[in-house]
Amino acid sequence: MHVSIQTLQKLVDIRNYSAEQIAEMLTMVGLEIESQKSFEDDTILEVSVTPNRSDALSHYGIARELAAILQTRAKFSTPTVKELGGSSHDVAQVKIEAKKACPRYACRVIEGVEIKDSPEWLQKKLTSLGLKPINNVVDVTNWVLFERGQPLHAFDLNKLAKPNGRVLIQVRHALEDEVLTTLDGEKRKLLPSDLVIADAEKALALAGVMGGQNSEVDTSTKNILLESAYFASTGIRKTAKRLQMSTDSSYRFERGTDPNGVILALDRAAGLIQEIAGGKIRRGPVDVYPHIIEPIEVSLRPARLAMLSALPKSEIEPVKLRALFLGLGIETAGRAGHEALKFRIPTYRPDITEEIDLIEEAIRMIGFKHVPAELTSHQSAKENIIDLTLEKLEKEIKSFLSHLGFHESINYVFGSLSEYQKFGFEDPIRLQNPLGEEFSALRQSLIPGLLSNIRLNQRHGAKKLALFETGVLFDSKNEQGSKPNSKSISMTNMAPDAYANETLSLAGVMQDEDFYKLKGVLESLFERLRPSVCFKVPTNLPSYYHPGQSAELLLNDESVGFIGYLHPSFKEHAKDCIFELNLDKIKPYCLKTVTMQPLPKFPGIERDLALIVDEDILGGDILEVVHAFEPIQKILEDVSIFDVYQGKGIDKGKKSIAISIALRDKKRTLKENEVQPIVDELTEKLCKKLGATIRG
Amino acid sequence: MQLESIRSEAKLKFSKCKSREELEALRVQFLGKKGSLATMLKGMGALEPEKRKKLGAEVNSAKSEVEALIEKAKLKLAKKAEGKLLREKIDITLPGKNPAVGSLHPITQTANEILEILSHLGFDPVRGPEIEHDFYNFEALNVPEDHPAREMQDTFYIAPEVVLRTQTSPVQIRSMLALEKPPMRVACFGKVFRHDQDATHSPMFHQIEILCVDKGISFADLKGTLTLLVQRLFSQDSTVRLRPSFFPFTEPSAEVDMSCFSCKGKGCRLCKDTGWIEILGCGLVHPSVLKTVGVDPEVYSGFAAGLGIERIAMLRYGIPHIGLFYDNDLRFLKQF
Ligand SMILES: [Zn+2]
Repeated sequence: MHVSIQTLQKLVDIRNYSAEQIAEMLTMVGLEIESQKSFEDDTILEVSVTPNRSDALSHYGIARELAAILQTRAKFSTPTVKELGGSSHDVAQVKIEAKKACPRYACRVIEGVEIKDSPEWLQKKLTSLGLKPINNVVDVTNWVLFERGQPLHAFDLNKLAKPNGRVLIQVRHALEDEVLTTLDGEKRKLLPSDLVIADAEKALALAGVMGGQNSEVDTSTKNILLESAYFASTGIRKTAKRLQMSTDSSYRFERGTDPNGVILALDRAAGLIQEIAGGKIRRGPVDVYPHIIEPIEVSLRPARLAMLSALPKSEIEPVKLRALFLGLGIETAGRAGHEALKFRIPTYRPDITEEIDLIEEAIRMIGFKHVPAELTSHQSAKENIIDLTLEKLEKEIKSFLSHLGFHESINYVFGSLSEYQKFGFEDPIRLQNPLGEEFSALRQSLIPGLLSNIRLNQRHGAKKLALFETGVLFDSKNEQGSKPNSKSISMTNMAPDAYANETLSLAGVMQDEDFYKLKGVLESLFERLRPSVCFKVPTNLPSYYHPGQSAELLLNDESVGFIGYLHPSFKEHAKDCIFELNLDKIKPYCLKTVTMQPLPKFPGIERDLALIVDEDILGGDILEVVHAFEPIQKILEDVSIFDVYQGKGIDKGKKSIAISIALRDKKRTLKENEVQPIVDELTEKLCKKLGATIRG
Repeated sequence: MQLESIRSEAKLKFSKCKSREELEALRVQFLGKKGSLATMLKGMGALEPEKRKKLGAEVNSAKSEVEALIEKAKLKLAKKAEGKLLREKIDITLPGKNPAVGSLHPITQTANEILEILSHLGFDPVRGPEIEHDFYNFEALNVPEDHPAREMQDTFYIAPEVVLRTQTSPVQIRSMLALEKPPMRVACFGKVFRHDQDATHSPMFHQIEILCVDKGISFADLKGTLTLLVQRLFSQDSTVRLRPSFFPFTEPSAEVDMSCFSCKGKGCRLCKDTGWIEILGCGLVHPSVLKTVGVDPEVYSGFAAGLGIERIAMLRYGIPHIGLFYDNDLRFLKQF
């Protein structure tokens, strides 16, 4: 909201302060000045008003704050109206049907106005605040809104229905299928939840939001009906939000206006209209206000204020507090028991309803600079609600991979639905209000994002790039989480009452790189993290992996991830190698504290075997036979493949696989002559089971 | 005289010595147990005392002479070897054979550093879901359905009453509900989402939320914690300034500015000539939030603060544009 320093000067004595000083003062009581600019001989401040401070959305409101800060009195005038002629009631009557949505409705009738451009001073005021001058009557309503914070509306009286020679204004909910063309020219279809101002025949205005074209004040207007009302915030907000109409008027009603400021603003506007547009103001406002809204009383315990604010005692003595509140228009209303003071809250401060609100007001006006900075106890929760393993695991993985040459990516969790469908994710969770198709669905894999990163970097000439990302993947739950309220909430990543399944995943990609290089990275990672993950021929491979050049990662027979080349249908990525790993699943098996094994005391024996097998026998098949060979199990320390060869010297359709077997007995020195028969037996077994022959 | 010829022989041979092996052989020839000097002493016992004494002294002096020759030859050999090594030189100006070096995302690095500082202050890390129920994201945080504060945060909806969390604050609620009773100190790092995209806004960004609930927690604790955090994160001489503000789930609420590290408060482009840079929002936990999670606000009080990680990373590293964080352009990532 914009305010003019010149206008403020008329309301509060700020002659001795520069615009910068005023901006600083307001900023430090929570009315942040976002910008400051000159307009002719005036200075305009842009104030950022938080949604709780509806009282500050006008020059009066800002002047009141300044007066409180400077401990002076604001010069607020009570407008007087020169009334002439018969009673307003003879011309207009008001009936409030929607009593909850409209606790107060008042209007005045002004006859014989001359519609023309506003005088220069008014045009300048409005322009300086960023408003467009329209005509003298409309400009006055806009100006008074910015002056006093009360929205007003002027109807062309002659355009309203007069069934018995009198206008009957009705404040009612819209009828089913009722239509109103608002001043912006839009034809609005209304709902019964919308509040309208109507005459006996038709809706005239969307209450508190915008007037209608059918009763618009134009150059031919002679008589006007000027409205000033108090509408409940909830209804206005609903309508404004549904129709996506935010007007200066709805903005204020949504946040809460002052029910007891209605007549002051009405009289101010009527007087000003008479002054610049001429006309006669009929006697008396029509004011329907069946239940007067009284100021509420709120008590404050100074001890409570002292405890929460930690302000020094001298700053919060009752005398000082009373004076401070009085500056804001909050009067003392006596004591509440021994320990509490009672205050009467003016109706323009609907944000103050309980003790904590008064505590905030006190700290706000005294200033945070008087609050000391302390560091007291550092007591963490006694119960273990946190999952430190996950934090440790993620940190460990990230630093490990980055040390191996991987760069960390962070991608949006939402992406293009059609892109995800290319990866076989047919039905990801969708956003109801996405920023566009490219951000419409929630990811079920980190791979699409990483590949787009590869493409971007490829365009910049990157080669052999390695990227990784950790992040949450989303999947619909079969049963949706019920509305939570229970105390049985876990603080792990996956809250049981979460709406969706959220899995923490790790994925990586190596651009134009060998499968075994990436597999090696994962093997090293697992060696570091210590879960016993094995690589198996995949049974449930996602469609974007190469079906013949990918492996599934298993932990205790459960699938925890995949590694492989991309499916050749992703032409740009045919040489890129990827992996994915479910961190939630491997977490329980990772980073366990190890128990030290005694260092070997006796020497071991190593044996190498070179086997010739059919080319579709896997290296893993050989290792499996070795591990399953019972006589060797007690002394088997390690078995590994160290060479695979195909070509010259080996028959077509065959290959040679060389393995190294390390044997050791923990309790004694193994002897050659006891090892040999076991190795022979193993060799025989390998030949029998896999059709292998020994390469001589 | 025999001793004399041994001396001159030694002089000659040592001066021609060309290797360590040769030197060792010469040492044995002259000083060894069966060497020429030792041989000289053999049969000395048969001589009369006078002569025996004289011969002993002469042999000993010859021995010292030979030892000196050995040292001299050693030195000469070492010098020669050194010269040879110098000639075997390599071009140390050629580039090294680097192992590939990766990087951690600047967001990760910034968050890690903040979490580390907080963990020294007793704040434990917690997490929560990114898709949240309206209840946790808004209602329990004192933002009922038709509250104007909802407009402060444009929200992505998944389903009615289900949102992509707009803040990490729902983790406050989850943490307090998970706990039997305070004290508690937690810090939650995570992604948050707002329906907003332009030069200064990203639809996804990261926050760290800190929450402390205990008996007797006051605004002074909040101020102390944040001052320490800012000083550790930026510089020891940073100061903070709190300005009243509004968040539905804290009261009193404040925006925290820190003194501009670029101009030290004199005013520059970074701080828009104010000398202050806004870095986070905070406040005392609203009594109704405590009530919602079953904590008696008359017994306990607490503070909460939320930090935007992108903003802090942009300030720390001088990153001009928030979009750079999510392009994952190597030329950007490599710099951190
Ligand atoms: Zn600066």
